[in-house]
Amino acid sequence: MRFLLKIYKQTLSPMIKFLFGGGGCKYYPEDLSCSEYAVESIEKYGIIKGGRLAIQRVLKCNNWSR
Amino acid sequence: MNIFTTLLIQPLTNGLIFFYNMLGQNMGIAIIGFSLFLRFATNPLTKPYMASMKKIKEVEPLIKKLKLKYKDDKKGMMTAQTDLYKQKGINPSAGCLPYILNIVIMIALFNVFTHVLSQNGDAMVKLNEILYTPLKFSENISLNTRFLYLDVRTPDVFNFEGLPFPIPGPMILLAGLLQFFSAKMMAPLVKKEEKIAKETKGQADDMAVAMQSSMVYTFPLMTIFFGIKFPSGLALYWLLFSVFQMYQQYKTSGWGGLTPFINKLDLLKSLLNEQRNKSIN
Repeated sequence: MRFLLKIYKQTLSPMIKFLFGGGGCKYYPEDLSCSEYAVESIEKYGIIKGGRLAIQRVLKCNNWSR
Repeated sequence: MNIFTTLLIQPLTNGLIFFYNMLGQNMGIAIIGFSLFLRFATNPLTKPYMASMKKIKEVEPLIKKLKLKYKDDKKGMMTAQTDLYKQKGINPSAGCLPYILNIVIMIALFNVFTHVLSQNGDAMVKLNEILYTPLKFSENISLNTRFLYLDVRTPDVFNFEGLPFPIPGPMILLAGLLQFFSAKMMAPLVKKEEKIAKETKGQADDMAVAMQSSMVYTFPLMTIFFGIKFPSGLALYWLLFSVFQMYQQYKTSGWGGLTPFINKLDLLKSLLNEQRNKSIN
């Protein structure tokens, strides 16, 4: 998991930032970024509950929550 | 048909064909019109995010200070940060999901163009399969794919006798150049991150930043390289994409890494104007 995260952070993540601009997360300075959150929650709760938590987290990242 | 096709590819294909019919049955103009339309249609969704990201980047040093101050006091840190955000008029609820959606739409659009521009014999049959009934074409009609000097279905290349490889045409070169410009405009952001990466000494950060700065050169080259192989309609879309990107970047943070270049251009312009005035007098 950690290994996958590292690969994502070093290749895909900068690529997306480069191509589409932006970058940054509304949770980030105070909390974990979405990919880190996903890894932690899956490690803690297993793939099913952790995965669900991670998806919920991504879906919550819209203009109308919090 | 999978969910990606029914939810994205199909509506987008129909949209493209709708624009094709509306804009004088020219696929090149349809591509321009439809991408413009989509960009403006999704703009209200992504705008809050881009704006708040810009502001958050600006106050990042202040956040760092707060972090030092409230090292062991998580609650205090939270309230201090919320106060700071309020003070600076940052709306922290602008999330990145609409922005991710936008990326997905663009990828789907790329897919649509590949489908519509395919040159296989039964391309029309396949296209009709996913078109809604009112938009279906009759079988013997072929799409008008001429645009300027191009056929948007074929690559924009020139073959010279004796040369073992094709020479990329103006559309591809312009697409590569504009991508380079738009990447340059984002450069100051990269620099800021570079500094932060050095401070935090995280290896992952270093790698990511290094990759980002090398991409300024590799991506435009890749654009040209792929442009030689792919239909020129895609190069046209890619070119538009870079233009939108530049526009957006200009709106949020100015010319960025292009500033020296723009300054030179302005100087040149004023010099020319002076000369013209002199010659008039």
